Amino acid sequence: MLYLVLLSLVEPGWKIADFGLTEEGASRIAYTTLHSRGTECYRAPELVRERSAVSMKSDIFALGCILFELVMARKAFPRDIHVFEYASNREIPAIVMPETVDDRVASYLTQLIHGMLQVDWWQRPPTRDILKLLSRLADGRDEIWSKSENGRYTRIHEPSQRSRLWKRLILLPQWSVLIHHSVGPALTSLVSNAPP
Amino acid sequence: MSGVEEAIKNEVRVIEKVREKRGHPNIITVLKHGWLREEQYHFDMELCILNLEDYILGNFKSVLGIGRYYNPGLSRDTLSCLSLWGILSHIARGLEFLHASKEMHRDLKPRNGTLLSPFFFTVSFP
Repeated sequence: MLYLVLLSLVEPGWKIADFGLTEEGASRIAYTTLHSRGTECYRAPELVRERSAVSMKSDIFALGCILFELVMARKAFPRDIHVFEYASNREIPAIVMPETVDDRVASYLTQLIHGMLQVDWWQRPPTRDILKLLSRLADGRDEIWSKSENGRYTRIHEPSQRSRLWKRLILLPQWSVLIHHSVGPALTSLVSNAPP
Repeated sequence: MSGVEEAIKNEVRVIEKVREKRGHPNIITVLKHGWLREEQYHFDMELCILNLEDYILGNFKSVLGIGRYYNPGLSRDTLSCLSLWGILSHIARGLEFLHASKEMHRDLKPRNGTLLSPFFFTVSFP
């Protein structure tokens, strides 16, 4: 049995993909069908109108929907009709933070979601401000939040340095076996086929 | 022009733009692209193992656990990626890059956010 051990040396991270609908420019008035205006559940109020105005701030609304979904484990606006209702009565769905999130972070996050889900696109914060707020929250990030079984975020304590080191040491023998399987046979064949 | 052709055109334009600026850690890197054969466009991207939609729905145990991928414990970097703070800051940074290069994504959703992770994984040929 041959094992190929592949090791990627890149940094882990979330990436944005799928630029099928991406457009050049900052804003535009579009007379298009509803289908080519993004995906249901993440459409901004200005996109569900008949005479839609596309802008960069529509992406901010979608980011707000994603943040809402991460916190609440449900969609903010499951159908277009909900966005339509929201645009008329301007009532943001109630945000209940998990109990494990401390009050300071919870108030910042609620404020951020409220800002990103503004009906008027010009009132939504630009990405620069979002990143600034996140860096203010960064001093509390060493407590790692992770998803629990029911899909909500809970805060767990970071594994201590010692336990992580112990894990690595335990895994060392397996590594040597894998390397032997992938490299060993090739080396032995080289040696055996070598001319005397 | 049909919708698919336009989508490919948009995709290629953004890819070339990102490549001109030497890439960004939070925008997916496309290694090669082109017509594979007639009416089949081909994008050769880096391997991403999980999309954000599956992560929100909780369908990630087989990917992040021991399974197809040989995974010697999640590293500190990967754990911080999985936190709310990590997800939000990464996607916001990617979005800032897109907006700074005068592009509107227009279709941002969890399915379009993917996790790239430096897992060790093995492929076996029986």
